[in-house]
Amino acid sequence: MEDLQRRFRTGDPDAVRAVYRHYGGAVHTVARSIVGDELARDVAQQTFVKAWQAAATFDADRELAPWLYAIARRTAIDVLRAERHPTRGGHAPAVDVGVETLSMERTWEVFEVRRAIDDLPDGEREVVRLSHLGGWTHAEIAEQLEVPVGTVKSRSARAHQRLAAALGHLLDSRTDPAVGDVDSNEDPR
Amino acid sequence: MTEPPEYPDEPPVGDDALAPLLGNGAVWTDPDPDLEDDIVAAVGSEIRSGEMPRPDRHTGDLRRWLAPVAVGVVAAILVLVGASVLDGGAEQGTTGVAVALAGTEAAPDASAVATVTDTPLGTRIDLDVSGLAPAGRDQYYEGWLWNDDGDAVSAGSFHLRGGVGTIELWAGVGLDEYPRMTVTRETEGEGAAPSGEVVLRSR
Repeated sequence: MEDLQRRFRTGDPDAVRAVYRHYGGAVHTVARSIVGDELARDVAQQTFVKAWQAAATFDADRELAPWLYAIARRTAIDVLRAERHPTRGGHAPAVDVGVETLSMERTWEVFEVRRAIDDLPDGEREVVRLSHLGGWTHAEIAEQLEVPVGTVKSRSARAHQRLAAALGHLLDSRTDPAVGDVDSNEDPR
Repeated sequence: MTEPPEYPDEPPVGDDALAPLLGNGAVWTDPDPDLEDDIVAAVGSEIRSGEMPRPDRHTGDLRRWLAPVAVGVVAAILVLVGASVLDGGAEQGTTGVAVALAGTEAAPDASAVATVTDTPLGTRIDLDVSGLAPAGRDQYYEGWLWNDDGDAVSAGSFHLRGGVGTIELWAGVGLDEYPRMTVTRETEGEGAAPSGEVVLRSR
């Protein structure tokens, strides 16, 4: 990873592909959570191009993920602001307000969750997806994947151990009711 | 079939807490498969057009804004304010620094205090603005951090049509290397470089 960060920092275009494969899902998830399906692809593309353009400003002592996340969130908010601008496309005035979106904490959360999911082995990832997103039982998953139930259980156990380790830092904030769900990039008093 | 005893029927570790995170359909939606190629192509296009990775470069004269500013410009104040801005999710940031910005001739009644905090996510700038008019039609404001070579990095944009107040900006660089700050008035569609129409400036 350090070598990838170093190559990315030098502007190596091959490193852009590698960075996308590592963080593309998480960046797209943040984009989608802020601007929705229609604009998420554009935001994700802008994010990686901006990151590549600004690679020389990346501090190699930091982790790449938070830096990419910050670019993605800011790009998404800027795109959202531009889309809501009253002078764009003949939109009627008086609709332009501060851009409200998911809070920093919540968008960081979806970024980190997606990263953790992407780091799972394929077999474990599918078990977790079917379990949490589909609400399937282990037996149903076993039937779907055509593997023994014991295999599903073992994959589930390993996956949840990995996820708990990767996402433990998020769990405390989930229990804090003071952490808001929505904020604004402009907070008029 | 006999099940391995070490694996329980339900996910064993942190499942109750993880369930709200993992049950969010948004985190499971994959981008289009061709997005990767499009991004690499976009970077290739930047290379072919002669663009290379670098900070945004100010097109104006650096000396113009290093020169003594107009009477009434308030000296930048760097004080520790003990701010720590991230409540959760990411790690706590380091102590914030307050930077005073004064209005220029383009906005003589404007002033602002920026609380700059180095966080694991980058540099957070909470800009508390007063006396600055809402941006006009087709216009917006943009925050910039500058280094001593005259390179500028955008920290994001805003328009103040919702009223004055605190604006949250973020940059991928810090005050250690980019110690000066400006706010410019920009026009929609006129490029990503600073316009040169500075309305607020630190020293």
